[in-house]
Amino acid sequence: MTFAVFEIESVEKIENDFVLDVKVLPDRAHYALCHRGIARELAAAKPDLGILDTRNLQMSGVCKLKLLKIKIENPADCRRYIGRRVENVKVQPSQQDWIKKLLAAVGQRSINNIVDAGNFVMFDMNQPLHAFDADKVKGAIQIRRAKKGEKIITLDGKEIVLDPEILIIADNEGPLAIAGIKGGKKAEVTSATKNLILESANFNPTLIRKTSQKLNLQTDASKRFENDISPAIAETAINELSELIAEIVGPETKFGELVNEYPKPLKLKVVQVSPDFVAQKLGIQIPEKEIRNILARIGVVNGAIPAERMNLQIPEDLVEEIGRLYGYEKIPEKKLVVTKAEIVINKNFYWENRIRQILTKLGFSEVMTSSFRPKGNIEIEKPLASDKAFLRTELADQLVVSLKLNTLNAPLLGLKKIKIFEIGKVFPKSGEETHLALNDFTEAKIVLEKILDEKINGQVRGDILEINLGTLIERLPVPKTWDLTQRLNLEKQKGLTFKSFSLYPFIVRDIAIFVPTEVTTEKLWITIEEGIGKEKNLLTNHYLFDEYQKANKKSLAFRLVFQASDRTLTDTEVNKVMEKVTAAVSKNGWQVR
Amino acid sequence: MDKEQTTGHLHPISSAILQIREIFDELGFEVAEGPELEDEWHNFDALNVPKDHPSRDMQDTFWAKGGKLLRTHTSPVQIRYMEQKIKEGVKPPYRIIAPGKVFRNEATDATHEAQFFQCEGLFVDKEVSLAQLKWTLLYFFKKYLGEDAKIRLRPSFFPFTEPSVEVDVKFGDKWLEMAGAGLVHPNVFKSIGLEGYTGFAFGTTIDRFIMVKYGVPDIRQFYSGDLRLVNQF
Repeated sequence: MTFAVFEIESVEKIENDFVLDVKVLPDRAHYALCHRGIARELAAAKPDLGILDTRNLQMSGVCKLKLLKIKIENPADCRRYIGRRVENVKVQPSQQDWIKKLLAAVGQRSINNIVDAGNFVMFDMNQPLHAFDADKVKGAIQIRRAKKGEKIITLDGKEIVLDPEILIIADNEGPLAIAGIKGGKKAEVTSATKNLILESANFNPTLIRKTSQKLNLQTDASKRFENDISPAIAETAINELSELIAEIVGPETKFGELVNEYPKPLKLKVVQVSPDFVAQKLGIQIPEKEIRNILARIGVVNGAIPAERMNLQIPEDLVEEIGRLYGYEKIPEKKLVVTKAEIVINKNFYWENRIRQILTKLGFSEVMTSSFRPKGNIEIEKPLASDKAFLRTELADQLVVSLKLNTLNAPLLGLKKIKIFEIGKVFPKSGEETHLALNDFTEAKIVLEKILDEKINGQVRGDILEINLGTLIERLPVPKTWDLTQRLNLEKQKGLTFKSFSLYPFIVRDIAIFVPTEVTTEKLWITIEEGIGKEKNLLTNHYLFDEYQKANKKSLAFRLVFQASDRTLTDTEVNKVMEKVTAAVSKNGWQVR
Repeated sequence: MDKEQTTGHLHPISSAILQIREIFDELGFEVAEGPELEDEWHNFDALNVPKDHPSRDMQDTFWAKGGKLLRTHTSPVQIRYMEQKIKEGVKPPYRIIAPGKVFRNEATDATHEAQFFQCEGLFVDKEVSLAQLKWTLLYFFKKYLGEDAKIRLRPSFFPFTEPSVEVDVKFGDKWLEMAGAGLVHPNVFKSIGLEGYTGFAFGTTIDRFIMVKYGVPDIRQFYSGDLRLVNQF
């Protein structure tokens, strides 16, 4: 399935059954957020399994019941509405274990036999269904826009104030349901209900989506309608629902005739695709007969698109169906013909990277920080946090924070002085700009001005210089050739593995030792390491930081940085390690200063 | 033994972008750029993601007050580049990569950040095929991750490509989802008035490349301003 159509996110075993969790993307949600859709895709992917649903149920034994009137105000809002009266029902908790179990498997609570039947058919066919208590409905079923100020109490007891942007189902007295989203209390089916009106309808997807977002009310029904399900399935679905009610409610139930308001029936689409077109798109010639067979597996015959497949509109859509079912693994790799002559070097990109290179050569390291700030000019509608509600207007403020962090960590990093810069977009009043900020800038500014042959002006705040890099680059010449060698870097990084760093504090110890001139730094270090012994895993960094000669002796000073990956080290622990180091050094007759 | 550096370090994302540029330079792709604060048309409408369509939910968007948004992908650069070329009277073939920062309004954790870097690729010509896309992606991943890299395509959905595929890359003994790709949807060409052409496009997350390639465990570390990360590269 994963290679033919959908990603299967998980498979869970429940008793003797399996529950597949399928990631259905928006292009297929209109036909595949249901069991039949998944079964059809399985049949298309594995034709030898022979699953193909052809059931198109027609209800037999309908009775002449009281006339049901349905009025659609605007066919653009409601593309189809089918109603059916059902009489003499007994509403009670579902008596059948199988339906309760199957609903539970897809995360649905059993409510009563009528609601359960509706949900069952929805998960089976993708068609949301609804039942009203017929005795609480006064006059015709009307599908219309709500009037300003009209109110509805939804099934979960919430009062919602309606307006003309919202489509409702109403009777002569007022709203019965928010169309395609949620039912109302007024005509709710309860244990006292004797007679029903069943609804199987199709609403404008955009309208349902807008309303559900506006009311912040996403339901299983709204999710299906907003994905543009086909109006064609409404009739089969109401017949399936009727059959299921007959089965689980009881034989004494009476079913009326369908009242089918379908102002503009869906025209079946025909999309033709030629084998040459497929070959051009996929890059492989698939025989016409094979293409025909593949398309037949998804029900496309002679270009006629099945009614439920709203996403198959243009030949490219069919190319995807053919490609995925033929198997993307069978598509060869075809070399791109390279025409090298006319590559234009992006000026911004070139100079930003040239400046990065100059600065790193001068000992600066590059940091990147968040684009969000607690204050600024551009405000975010729904920020992740109140201190991330605006876009940054400068880089300097976060460079200060980064400088502080890295200065504290200088011994870990083995650096005497922290020199950093950031290049990034900022959003001051003047609009989106690219800035550069760096600390310790005096020398760097001179070097940059010399190499770029341009004067650099910017904002100085303490030790930090921030410049508008975008306007500086505008004044620089158009690069003719790409002369920044990145290959060296590629080589350097081969085989590099990132080492996680500890989040616990570190402890620094300096040790200076007098040794005879002939003792090398390496030899002394080996001795120190012997002294550290098994605590070597706590030594995060070390380096020689001072060295001088005095008569026939020399002094070597090491900085040792200790840190544990799982806890805060104590002074006592580190002191013990240092005592062992001193002992090891003294054993050689060398003197710790 | 003296670890003191005389040269500083590029941020690993900057290095990765330079490496990607170099690889695609060999194929004749140039670098294109676009704004981080985008308009709805370039980020969505022109890319066949209509207003009030469920496909808008695929990317959680940071909307700015006043109607603009923080681009949710580097794909709007496709549109901006082609618009510019049409204005200049330059016809395809077009070959671009567009590396840059993008934003998603989602809760952050070790694998999700509100900001990260993507790299877009676009090739437009008279007859462009999925076979060429497959070759190009394999060429790239072999150069970037190593000669033993393998790729496979899975069906997927992006509104601006048809067919759409997910690209898995074999790294070590695991298949990892590394890019989304496909043939440019005719509606994209229609929206900018470039008809009679075809193309392929792909988009990858640079942060994820580095995490996979070097074993960085937490995406948030890229944006912490911490040299304990940067100076390892």
